[in-house]
Amino acid sequence: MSVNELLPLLPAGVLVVFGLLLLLYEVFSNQSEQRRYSAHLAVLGFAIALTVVAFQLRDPTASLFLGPGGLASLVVDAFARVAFILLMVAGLVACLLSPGYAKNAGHSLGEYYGLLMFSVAGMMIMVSAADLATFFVGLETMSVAVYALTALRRRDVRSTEAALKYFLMGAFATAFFLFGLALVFGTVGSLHLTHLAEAMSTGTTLLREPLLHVGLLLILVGFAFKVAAFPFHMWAPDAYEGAPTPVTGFMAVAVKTAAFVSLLRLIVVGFDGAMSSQTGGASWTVLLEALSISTILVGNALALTQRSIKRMLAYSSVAHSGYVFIGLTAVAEGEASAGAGILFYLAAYTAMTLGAFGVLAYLERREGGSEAERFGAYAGIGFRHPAASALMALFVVSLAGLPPTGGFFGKLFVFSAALRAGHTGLVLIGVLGSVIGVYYYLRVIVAFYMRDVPEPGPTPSATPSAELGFGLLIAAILVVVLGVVPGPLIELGRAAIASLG
Amino acid sequence: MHSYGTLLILLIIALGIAGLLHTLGTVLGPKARNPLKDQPFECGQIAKRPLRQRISVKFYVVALLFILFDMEVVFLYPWAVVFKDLGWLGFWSMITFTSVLVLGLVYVWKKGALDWE
Repeated sequence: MSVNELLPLLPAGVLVVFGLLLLLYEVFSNQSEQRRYSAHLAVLGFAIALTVVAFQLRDPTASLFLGPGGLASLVVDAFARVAFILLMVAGLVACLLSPGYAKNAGHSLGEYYGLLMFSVAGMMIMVSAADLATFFVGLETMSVAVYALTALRRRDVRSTEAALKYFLMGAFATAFFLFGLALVFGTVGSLHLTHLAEAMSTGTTLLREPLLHVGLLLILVGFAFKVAAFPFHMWAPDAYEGAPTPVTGFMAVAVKTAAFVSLLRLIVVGFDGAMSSQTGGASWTVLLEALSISTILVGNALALTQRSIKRMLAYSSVAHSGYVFIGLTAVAEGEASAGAGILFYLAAYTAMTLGAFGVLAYLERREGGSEAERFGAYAGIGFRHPAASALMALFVVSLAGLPPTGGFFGKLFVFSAALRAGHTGLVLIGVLGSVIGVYYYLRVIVAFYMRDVPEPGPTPSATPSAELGFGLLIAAILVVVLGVVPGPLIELGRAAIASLG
Repeated sequence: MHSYGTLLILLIIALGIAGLLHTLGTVLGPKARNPLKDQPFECGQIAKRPLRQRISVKFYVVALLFILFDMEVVFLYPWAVVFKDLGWLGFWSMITFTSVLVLGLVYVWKKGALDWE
């Protein structure tokens, strides 16, 4: 093995190097005045890594770190590269949203950007891992960094509470996942996805082994925790509410994207695409179906009743996990086009959710705690901050799934693939959930534009920042472009799914 | 499953003997109770001050850093064993790994985590 073979991992390497640079920059420039370029350094790192991936996008599949039997631990294929792009765009936009918010909230830490880059590097290991043990290393690299990001506002009770809850729940998820790995290893004798696929397709005696199914179930529970699917969603609203708002956006999109994309690889490669009934897969499709139905219904129902916009967005992100599970159900039955739909959905979801949290980060006030996030506190903001409010309107319209936005096509692709797989009932539930969603998403617009301003009106202390404006602009352009010309991305998604073989 | 049966029998016998001896001791043994005997006793003197002392949080940082660097040094041993087989790639991999550690140490040092006061 030579150094050249490591080139497919160069994007992750760039992120780690820049993360380390940021840590050193933080300690060697003790004056906070000198530290203001951390965000720019981080954005530069993401931009370089993105350029590298763009150049490598058409490269053939690279298998790295061959283990026994010549099976690779990491497979950097078109699928992984598309996921790299999604994750790094999320990281880049989160970095752009942060400096203004940090100035407003009175903290600026170089570690912040370093941790962000390390967590994205961990996610990149997750999405390219062909071996569940390697996957686990990536999962922990990501999780530990995100726990620390959540706890960033050390003096804020809500932030520390959120971080503790997230950490404890994450530790539970890790324990479930590891126990599942142990059981799978005990029955299959390997954690490699190829071996798992062989066991699932040919070893009929293995399939009657209950321990294998318990193991896979526990692994699924681990994933469900990370994507905040019902009934493992309890931590999400508190963690999302307490974390610094740009971090909330990052958690809601990047962590979920990484978990869903790797679950997609596990289902397509590890379960060999088809979980048909003679291989004992029927029960699995039922499980995924149950997860998606309950997550959509509970997420939407709870989002309806929230008084705080941040919590509403948190529950709505739970509901969005449910929509992605519809696509996963179709993928599990061999409908490959659903995989491309999921990648498209995640891209649109990344842009619109980061954008929505970005606008909240812009409008958020330093004083007032949770009261400041009530819908009522935003009365009349549409006229005081017209640009930010217009962007917020665009993002919530996209979240609600109305055309001409990326959110509309995301739902369209996922739902139509599920229809082709014969899941009419599931799609009906999804559409029903979206209709409920329209109500609470439009509440945001009503609060922004159609409520009387109490006199004297609340004075939101928004801090204009060029970086934040640029970040919101990127998110808005992505939402609109995905909604007007969805073709190129869905083609890219199809090529990505095809590369899984 | 049947191979675990022997273990179960062993467990039952062990519990039976222990239970039997304990019961016999309680039933047959002489009893002369007094308050002093009923006091909890472990060994040594009676404690003069509360045993649950609060320990400075500084130890926590030092202990955490110790575990971090200690765990990472563990990787050096297997590397040293197969050093010749790995060749130059192994050498440079380890140099990279150690440099990351050194950068971490520099960060910790400059951040002031090693200052006791």
